[in-house]
Amino acid sequence: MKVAFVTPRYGPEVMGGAEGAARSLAEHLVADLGHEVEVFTTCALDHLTWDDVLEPGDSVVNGVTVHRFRSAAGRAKEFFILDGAIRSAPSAVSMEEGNRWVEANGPVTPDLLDALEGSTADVVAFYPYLFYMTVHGIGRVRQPAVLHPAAHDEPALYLKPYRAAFGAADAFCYHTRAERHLVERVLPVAETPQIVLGLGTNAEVSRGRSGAEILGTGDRPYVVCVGRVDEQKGAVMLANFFIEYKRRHPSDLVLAFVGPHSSTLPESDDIVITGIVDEEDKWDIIADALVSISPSAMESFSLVVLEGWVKGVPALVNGTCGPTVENCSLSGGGLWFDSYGSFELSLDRLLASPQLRRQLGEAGRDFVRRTFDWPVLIRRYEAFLEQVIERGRSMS
Amino acid sequence: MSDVSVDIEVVRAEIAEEVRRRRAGGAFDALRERELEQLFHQYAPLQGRDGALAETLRAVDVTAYIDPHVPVASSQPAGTAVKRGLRKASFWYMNWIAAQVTRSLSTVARSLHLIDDELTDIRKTLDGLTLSGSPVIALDGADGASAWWAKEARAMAARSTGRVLVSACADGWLVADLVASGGDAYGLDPRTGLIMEAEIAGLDLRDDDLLEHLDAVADDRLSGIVLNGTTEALLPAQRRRLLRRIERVLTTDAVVVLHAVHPDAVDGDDVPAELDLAGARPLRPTTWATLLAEMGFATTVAIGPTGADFLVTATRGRLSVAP
Repeated sequence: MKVAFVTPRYGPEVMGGAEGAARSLAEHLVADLGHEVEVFTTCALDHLTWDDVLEPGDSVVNGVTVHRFRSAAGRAKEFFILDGAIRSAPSAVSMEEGNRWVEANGPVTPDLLDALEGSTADVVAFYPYLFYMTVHGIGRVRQPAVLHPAAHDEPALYLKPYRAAFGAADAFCYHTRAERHLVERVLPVAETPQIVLGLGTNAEVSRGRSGAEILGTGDRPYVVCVGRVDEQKGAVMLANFFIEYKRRHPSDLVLAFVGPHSSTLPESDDIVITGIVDEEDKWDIIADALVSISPSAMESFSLVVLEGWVKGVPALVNGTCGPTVENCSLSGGGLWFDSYGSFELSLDRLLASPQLRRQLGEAGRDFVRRTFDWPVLIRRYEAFLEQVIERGRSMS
Repeated sequence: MSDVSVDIEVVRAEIAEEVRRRRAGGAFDALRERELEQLFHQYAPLQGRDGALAETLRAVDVTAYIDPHVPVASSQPAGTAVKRGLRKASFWYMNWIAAQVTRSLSTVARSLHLIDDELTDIRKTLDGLTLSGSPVIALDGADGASAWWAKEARAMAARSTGRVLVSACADGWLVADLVASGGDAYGLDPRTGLIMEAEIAGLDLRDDDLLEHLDAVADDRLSGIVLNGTTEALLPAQRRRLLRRIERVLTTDAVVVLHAVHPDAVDGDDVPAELDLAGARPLRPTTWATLLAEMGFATTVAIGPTGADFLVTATRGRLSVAP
């Protein structure tokens, strides 16, 4: 099987997000199952400007053939004005205005789309829905097209050009059921073949050091929050919740933030921020945590919750984040909070009961093993793509 | 599933109850809790659906108050003192503006609460006519590949030339059969636990409600629909909605297969409690045949060996011609 991915950025320099997920799938299809994979992408690394930084042309990255194209235009200057204008009533915006928004969002990639038409792949996977290359490419390819929406409940989803793009997809690959429900609530595409695949967890690595040794917290117990330390990711809220919790429940407990640091948190002797750590340290820190906390309300999947479960650590997640709540609910591996009160009581309950932590952690670990281990996940994806190709053949 | 799994819903219910108890007992500092709520809602998605209206209104309440006390923290030396001075000098002005904005937003919030109260009253009144999901009615031994009606259902659905939807698909046995014989089928079943294994194994199964799902299907996109155990507990308004949706999503050449509990069996002890609790009465097979005939279908009716259930098959367009 030959698979083509279309994604606005690609490469090991691009961290996380939809593009990172596309790269994981592409590399596992090659390395684990021996399929041929090519990627159509831009020369950009920065998702705010889409400036061409990398060289155009073909290269091979971890066994995946990458075709890079310059963009005719990046993020337009008037984008934010246009974006502000569509926010109040996006579904009422005309097709023409919607297309202007898509172009202004960038990157505009006519050369990429021309080349994509000549692809000899059996199936083309677009990842994610938001960009020009998906909107204008999905109806142009002659092969079956799989759309990985990576959709959030955001104004763009309601714009008319996306209605046409989703309608042209032959199949959908979702991160979570919550994402599927969102898409089906907004767009009439429920009958289209789909799979809720999620993302695979990376192999755990360790140097055998204790988490407390890496954090420098002595023998103090700790809870951990892995990911970008950013206000929008809920880090400031969590820090304040934790300080209040410690004021009301004095103890040795520490909150460790593990990840790149981009927002200022309130100072506290009970909070440690590691900044970026390598994979070994990250896994060792997670392994010794009492609870893994995901405070973000806007996750499309949240691998870090799964990484906690891999180590048998229970999760405590933001109750307004559909995907993380869904995974906690399906696995039985975590609790969720929707106010300071429920945060305090949930954390209290988890800290007070090693048995509850063990039960939730094991349920989470079992869930990850059955659903998100790479060998399981990539086989599911392979079977799904084969079905999509077969269905395409029978319909043509 | 782990053998040491714990019922998350029970734990969460206990926590919610304890939060309510403590809040009522004044265990939380209301002002501090309000500040923390504000932080919580700053980046939370605002949802107006699925019972989240109360959550949204809570966010409106939290954000309605405009604080005239401008923050004075600064990373510059003496910055805090300068900011504090400016705040003191302009406080009369900021306070005047903030008070008016807060008053205005509070009025808006209050009106939204009044509308919510009205809606809640209406919802209570209409509770018996709810148009949301209805339970699956599964008779013991009447589902699965070895059930008396399975062979005929499989044969009829296989005549479809396009995509077939199987409702209350359980572990996906009929979907798997149809796909294995070269068909294009998918399934729905709100009983998540039943579908998960087959879903992970690669079948297109979803834990969705039938009526809500049909709302999200584009017109003329399905060539067949199998209604298994999903019509008995429908209230009249829901049944009308189902028929309208079926008419809209099915192509001209289409198949409908309907398996349901017979109304004569409703008084027996073998009928699932869900049917009693739903307060609905299943239709007779001839009534379904009449309803489907009105949509242009040619129908056949078969009663199960015990008389407890029946099968209606219906075809229209080119599929009406016997193969």
